[in-house]
Amino acid sequence: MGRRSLIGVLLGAFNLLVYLFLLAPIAVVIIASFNSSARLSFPLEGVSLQWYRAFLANRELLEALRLSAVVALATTALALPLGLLAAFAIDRYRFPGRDALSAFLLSPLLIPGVVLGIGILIFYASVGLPISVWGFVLAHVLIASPYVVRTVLASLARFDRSLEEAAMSLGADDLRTKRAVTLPAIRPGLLAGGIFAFMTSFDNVPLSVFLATPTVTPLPVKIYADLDSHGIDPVFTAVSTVLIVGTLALVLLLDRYVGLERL
Amino acid sequence: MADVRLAEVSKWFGGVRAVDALSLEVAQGEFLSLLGPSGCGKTTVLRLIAGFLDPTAGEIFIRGRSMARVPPFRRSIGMVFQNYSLFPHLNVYDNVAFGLRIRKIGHRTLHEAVTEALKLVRLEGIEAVERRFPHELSGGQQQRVALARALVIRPEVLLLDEPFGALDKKLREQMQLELKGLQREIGITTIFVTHDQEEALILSDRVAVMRAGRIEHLGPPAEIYERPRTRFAADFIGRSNSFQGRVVRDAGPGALLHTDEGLAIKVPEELPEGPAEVLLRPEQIAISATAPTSGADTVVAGTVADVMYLGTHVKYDVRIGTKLVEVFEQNVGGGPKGRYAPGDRVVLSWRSADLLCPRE
Amino acid sequence: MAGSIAERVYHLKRSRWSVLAGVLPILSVYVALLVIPMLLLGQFSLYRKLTGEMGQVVLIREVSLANYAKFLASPFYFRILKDTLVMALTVTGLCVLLGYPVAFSLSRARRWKGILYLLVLAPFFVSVVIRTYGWMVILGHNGLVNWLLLASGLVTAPVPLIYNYTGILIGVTHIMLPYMVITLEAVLRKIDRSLIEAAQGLGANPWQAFSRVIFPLSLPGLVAGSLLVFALSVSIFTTPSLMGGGRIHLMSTIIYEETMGQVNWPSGAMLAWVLLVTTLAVLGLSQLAARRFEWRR
Repeated sequence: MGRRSLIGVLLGAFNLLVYLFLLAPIAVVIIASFNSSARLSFPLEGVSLQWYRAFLANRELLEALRLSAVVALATTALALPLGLLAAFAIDRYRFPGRDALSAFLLSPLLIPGVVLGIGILIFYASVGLPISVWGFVLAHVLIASPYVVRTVLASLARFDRSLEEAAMSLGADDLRTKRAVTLPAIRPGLLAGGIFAFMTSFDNVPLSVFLATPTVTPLPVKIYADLDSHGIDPVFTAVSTVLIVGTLALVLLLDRYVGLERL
Repeated sequence: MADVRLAEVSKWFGGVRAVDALSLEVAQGEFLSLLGPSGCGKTTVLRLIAGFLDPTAGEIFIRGRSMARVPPFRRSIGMVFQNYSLFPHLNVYDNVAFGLRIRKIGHRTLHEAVTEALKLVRLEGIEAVERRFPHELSGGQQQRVALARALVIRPEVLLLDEPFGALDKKLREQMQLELKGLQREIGITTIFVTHDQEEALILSDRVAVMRAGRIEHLGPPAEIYERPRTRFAADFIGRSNSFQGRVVRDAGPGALLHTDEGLAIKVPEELPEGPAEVLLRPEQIAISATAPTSGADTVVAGTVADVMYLGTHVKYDVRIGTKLVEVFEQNVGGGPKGRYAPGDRVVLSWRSADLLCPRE
Repeated sequence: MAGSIAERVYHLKRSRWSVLAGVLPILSVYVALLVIPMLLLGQFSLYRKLTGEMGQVVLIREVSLANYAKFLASPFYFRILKDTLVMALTVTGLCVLLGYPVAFSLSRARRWKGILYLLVLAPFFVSVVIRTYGWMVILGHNGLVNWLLLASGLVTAPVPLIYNYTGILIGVTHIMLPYMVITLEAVLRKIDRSLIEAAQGLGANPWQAFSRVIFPLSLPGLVAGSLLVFALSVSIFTTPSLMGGGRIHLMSTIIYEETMGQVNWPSGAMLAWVLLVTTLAVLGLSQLAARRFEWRR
């Protein structure tokens, strides 16, 4: 018995270190965002909100944040119906090439972002599409829809079809049945898919970095480019903290309504 | 000497007493069943003996050795689980050999032991059965492999946790017979958990009827059925008619129970005066059109209220005044002609010695 | 006679044409942004770039395998491909070492399970750029780790922890670890507790129960998690790009450099094809391996 608990203690200590490793960069960024010194170096000095003020005074960063939000919202708004329709077709019908089709629809998840990035860049250049919000949205729909397809397919697989039959036998027509019975049942999947779509778009660097121009730059690309050329800038601690708190709220929402373990 | 002994063993889960100061002795080679409804603590008792749970109070002895602080893998037990728990990544041979390999048994001895164990559970005939994986076996075959795996390590005690629950009725009956034969053959002390009363009665040398973490009645099957010590034990096993009322000793021989429905029935003399309840098994009541059966000392007239055909026997609900009495009549053949129909006047008769008088 | 609209919709929906109606919109997006770009990528990888006398970029639209020949002949590119694969393999190994104990404890946790699960998933939901930035703050010249090392007197000068291979390994492992943990945990969770009890009942001590029952049964998860992490690590861009600081090159960063830095689209396209084929080969192998390691119940 004593031996078992010794193993348990060692395991617990090891796990603690791994959790520390997982959470350290996030925690450090949040703590450092309240630092009052001019340079980001340790030990941290006093407490101040100067980096938040610097963030709010930085027009470029705010513009990048606005662009990212607009692109992510538009991407979600497009990816949801596209993914929903496709998932329904795949779930409800048996047709040749069905498995191949669903594998194809999930494939953007597996293709390296830089490969998609350069391909789409060449495509836009070939058809003469100027870099714009829509250029980002279209590219992001491609990498966001697979999440919607996957989560909705999973929800539909769990859905008991006899509920639809029950509704129809009670006189509800097709549309009514879908609205009153099916959609509410798969709403967790839709919600999860939507949140994934939003975050995929909002977070993307490897693809977007090929499409960005000095004037049209989403936030993560802007952070990436600045870090790449100027090194560690403390203002990003404040930007990051704002984003972390934002996504944390989203995650808690997701956990509350869907349950993370079911994803 | 007792092979397995539980001394005032309790197990609490939070505030719930799953096992409540339970004492039990199982003799060498005995087949004992723990019988009771779900939640009565029977599986907890088994898991305490196996060592998967530690008792909150009390002590468990196997062959006189205290099991306190002995982990499950140092106890000499063979356990068969409800869902068999065969290792899905090992084939039949390796599943059975698992415990022997842990014990670092030599190659030859191991092979002989595994082959013998498979033979013992009658698995040797099936082609290449050793190399099959659990998911390639039927439920009955998985059951046999689980049994072979538990027996091959020659445990001091065999523990079975509702092992036949997942099998269909026919197969279950066959496996019950085989288990009984096997257990007699190797004479291993066996503790068997079930909620199926029939199974417990068929298999066991003794049955412990459990309720709320305690043993209500411990005894041989016939005693459990015919002389249940408590109302709960009588109720849980078989069906019974209940008569409640007051016992009165009249001038004549014996005592009478004046029931709440206004009947007066003869009850055994040892029953004290005052409020009482007696029970009567439906199959111990004879039903006839006129003359009562010989040997009966209680005769009551009534009207058939309902008839239910059950194949091996027929169940009648007979109304006596305001009381409904359930009667089983053996289906002796002759077709439906000889049976009674609702509304028929009938006479019920029984021996007052057959009445069950459990102490509450 | 034709019935109400609802009835007609019902019958239409039962026909196969409605499959097309369902998948056509998404397929058109995929054709435009996946199929055509990949074909264009293949086409461009066969072109060549010339730098004109004034430094202007000239694209020679002439089909040749010159780019691929350059790749095969160049020790520089080969080294990058090798470095990429070695990095991905090392990250996979680190994720197994760090992730297995966590996944194991998580699969057996009762209290706190939700919170512990959330803590593992939390990094997932924080932008990759931000997490990499966090590592730069921790591991940088003036970072937390160097401060601790200096303050404790273990070193006398800051240790270079970023803009090198070590930094890339730490950063990428951090990104990949949650994938490993959740894949493993999903498999470990399904292992019936009674199997462990069965093993113990047969005389196996906790270590034997682990090594003979739990570990073999968790192999499918280990294989699936490893291949997932490996495939994702081969193509990861943001973290190695920032943590490498332009000094260490991997496939994804060299593709970006050739395309955007050198404005050599044909060369970038060629490298992109090499990376794509590498990734798909890994995934194909993983499918085969997954099938071999599948224990049916």
